[in-house]
Amino acid sequence: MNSEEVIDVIQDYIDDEEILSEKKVIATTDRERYRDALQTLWDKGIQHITTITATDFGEETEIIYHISCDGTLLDLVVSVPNEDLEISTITDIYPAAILYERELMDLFGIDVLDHPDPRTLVLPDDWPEYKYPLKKGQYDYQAIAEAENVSDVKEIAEDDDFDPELMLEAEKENKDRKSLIEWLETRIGKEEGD
Amino acid sequence: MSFVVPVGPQHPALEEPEHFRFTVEGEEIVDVDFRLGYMHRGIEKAFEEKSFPRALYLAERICGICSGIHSIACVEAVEELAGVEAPRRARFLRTVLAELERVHSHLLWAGIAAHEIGFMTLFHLTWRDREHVLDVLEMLTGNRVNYAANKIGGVRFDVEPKHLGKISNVLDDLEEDALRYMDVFTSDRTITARCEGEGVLSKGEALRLATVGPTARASGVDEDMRRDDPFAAYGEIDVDVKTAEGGDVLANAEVRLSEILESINILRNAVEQLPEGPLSVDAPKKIPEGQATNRVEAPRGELLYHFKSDGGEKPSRGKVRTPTMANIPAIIEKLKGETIAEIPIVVASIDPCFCCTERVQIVDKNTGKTQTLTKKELREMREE
Repeated sequence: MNSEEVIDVIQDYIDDEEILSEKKVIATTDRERYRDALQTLWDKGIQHITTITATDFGEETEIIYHISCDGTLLDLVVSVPNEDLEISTITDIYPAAILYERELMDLFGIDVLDHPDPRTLVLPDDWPEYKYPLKKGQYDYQAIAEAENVSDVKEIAEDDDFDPELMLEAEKENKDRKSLIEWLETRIGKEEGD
Repeated sequence: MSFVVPVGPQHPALEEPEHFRFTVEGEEIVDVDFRLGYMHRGIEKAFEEKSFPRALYLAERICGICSGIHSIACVEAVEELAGVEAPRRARFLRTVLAELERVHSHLLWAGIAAHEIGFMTLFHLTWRDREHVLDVLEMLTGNRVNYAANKIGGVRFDVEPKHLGKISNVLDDLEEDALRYMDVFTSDRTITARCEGEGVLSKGEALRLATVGPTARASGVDEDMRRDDPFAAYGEIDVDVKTAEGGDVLANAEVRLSEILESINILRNAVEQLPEGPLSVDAPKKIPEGQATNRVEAPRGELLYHFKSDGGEKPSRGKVRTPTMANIPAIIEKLKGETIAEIPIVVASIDPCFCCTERVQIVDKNTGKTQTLTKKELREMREE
């Protein structure tokens, strides 16, 4: 199956297509129709899902289903707004997507509806809730990189309304690491008191 | 009465620990659950903090065994983004690198498989022969692993006339050895008794679970990215895709050993047809905005890299899907209906980057009593 034949199969369910080469094609669709597109492909005997990639763009999250159609790689792109970050599972169509969807839930906080096994896949058991490593602007990575022990990292990661400018200011005022950590502790302690 | 047998997560000898929980009834495994993430190093996030050339070196450190193919997959995705194409000679040299790596990786697998069934002589012999391939890689690139052989726009090593004699000698020896191992694996009674009919994955299941690489080919699925979606110079070199029908551990061994022979053929062709020309072209420092997806055939199967650039010097997103990830559902399927004693060889049969049977705990579900077994005890149980 070459790129054009792939597009012919899913023509009714896509908004836009970009044929990069005979073996690479990108198609854009939306949340209402992507499952129909995938179901049509499965019915045509395309059973191989390579993986699912998500990317956080701040306002919206782009989810790409990489489907291997007999040597041709189809990237089926679905965009989901970040304030309503949920998508239906495709494991009933493509059973192999089960791990990739668990990865989406873990790393991006995407709510995969009707997933048969929505447990944590790669993150530790004590990972703070509502923190997703691959979302943009989630953590103060500089502070995490410089932290001396795990509990510091956890505190920084759990700090809900982290403000980069405030952090910079704090670093200016507190020249050495010890006083910086003390400063962070008092700040976190104060929030807990509130 | 059913028991839960946790296996893992730590094994000090092999990389990538993983945790399995086997539900057993007597000796038979009825259900398998697993836990990943013990080796999650945040590399996808780290890509966003590195410039594109440095991301290449990071990609190479994802896997110690197939570091070369990770760097090829990464560099070709970045080249697609940057709009540069490596010269023809560079693409042939990448093919040479990928195939040498496949040979040593499959020999390593044969050794591990032999080790798991207690055939230590075969383990030592295959790993001895693997050293010869590593010698060639060291001669060409300067490193046994993490070759740093690629750069955006080309390669950083060359096959010179003085290397040809050594390469041809090693390939001749390897061909002889691979044929001998093929003979041993298919005829030795110890091996056939342990491998034949164990860990069977049917073709239908292999397709349904999107299994990749030699694991899929051992179940009769005819797929290979080298032929189906050519990268490097595979478009110009014929690849004879090897498949087997059984789907068991023995079929896995047959596929991998015949792939060694096929790789030797490809290497001979690639070195013979090596075109003249430059090794690299200049690449821009700032990569234009866009996205690129690239797939290659790693020794363990289809490997995918996806990069996005926002027009700067760093990727705005880097995604990697390794073949072991795709084959984990297949392990589960293979293990159901097997016995505890077969866990090591069946888990090893997909050639994962882990094997974590050093410490086994047997938990009595009713009393909550825990008993810890060592690998030695597990082996003894197997022999009983």
